[in-house]
Amino acid sequence: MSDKIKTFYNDMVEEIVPDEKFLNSLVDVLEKEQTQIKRQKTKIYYMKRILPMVACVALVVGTAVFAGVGKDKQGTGVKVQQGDITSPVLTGNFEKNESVSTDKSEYISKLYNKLISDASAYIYVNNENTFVEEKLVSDEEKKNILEILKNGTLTDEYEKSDTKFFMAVFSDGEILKFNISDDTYMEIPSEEIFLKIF
Amino acid sequence: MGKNAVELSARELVDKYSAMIYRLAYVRLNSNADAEDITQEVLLKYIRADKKFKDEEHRKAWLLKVTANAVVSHIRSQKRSQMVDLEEIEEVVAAPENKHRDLKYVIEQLPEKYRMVIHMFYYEELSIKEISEITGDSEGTVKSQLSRGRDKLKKLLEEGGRL
Repeated sequence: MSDKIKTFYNDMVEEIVPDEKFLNSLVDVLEKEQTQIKRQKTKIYYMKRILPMVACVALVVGTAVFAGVGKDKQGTGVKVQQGDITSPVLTGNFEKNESVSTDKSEYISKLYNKLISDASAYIYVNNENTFVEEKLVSDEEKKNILEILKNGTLTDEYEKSDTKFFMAVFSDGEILKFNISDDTYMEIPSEEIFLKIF
Repeated sequence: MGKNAVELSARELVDKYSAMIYRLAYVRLNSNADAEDITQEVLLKYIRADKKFKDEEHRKAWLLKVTANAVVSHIRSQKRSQMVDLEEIEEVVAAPENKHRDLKYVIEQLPEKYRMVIHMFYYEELSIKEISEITGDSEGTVKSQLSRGRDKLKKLLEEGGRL
């Protein structure tokens, strides 16, 4: 009896079939949904691959920037304090296309030209030649340095009084040193030359 | 392990599972439109869930459970709805579906609570334990519903001279 009921019931149910039109529209709906999900999965897949790389690059750059700020650029043992870095060297009325004649000296010409062309250069000043507790030069001092380099004349005279020691550090890693006494005389120790401005 | 919902084409999904979902919804709701809504809802859920199943039986059980839940939610939302479109009711009464006449008669006469249990037991050939897992009722309740539903079905078929 139970089998008869089951057979009869199942025969009836077999007649229940969804409408063909409905099934075709259902296929369309499901295809759209599948496409959307596949797109999302692809996006998530690439995000998962790219994000760690971006994080690594950010970490490396961040570390490099942080490390670069706290260390000297030529291994001179000089440390620059983060707060000391203010502005690039070139300020005042010095034009980039103005160059100092190499007649004075190649060293002076190079120093001047690099100071006005390298926006990332910094000049540190100290009262001693060790540069242990150096500071960045003030804008006023920068102008004075450029003034001496541009308009100073070579001289054999040199009066050492109130001498300050300078170190210009350029973005290409080159370091050029010079001394200024009494805001008037400039000495390039490595070249044994002197400039004087009146 | 079978393919997941995104790996099967939409046509394969419809061909394989739409009738099963549609039939279970239909026997409980006694409406083509509602059964269609449930079929679409369940297959969309299936695609979105993107589940991996141990085997075909596991997949079938999951789909039937989701269908049963969708049907129950549908009934609840219908009961909550205060707005009744009288034209729709007239239309349903005036246009009986000849194709499913026997079934409609049986379904209409069979108490609602027995319909899905009978269907899952006879047509889907699920065990009492499996039906219990799908409906969330205890095995004792399912057994009792099945026994009463079977008696009612037998009586209906005898009355109609079909047994």
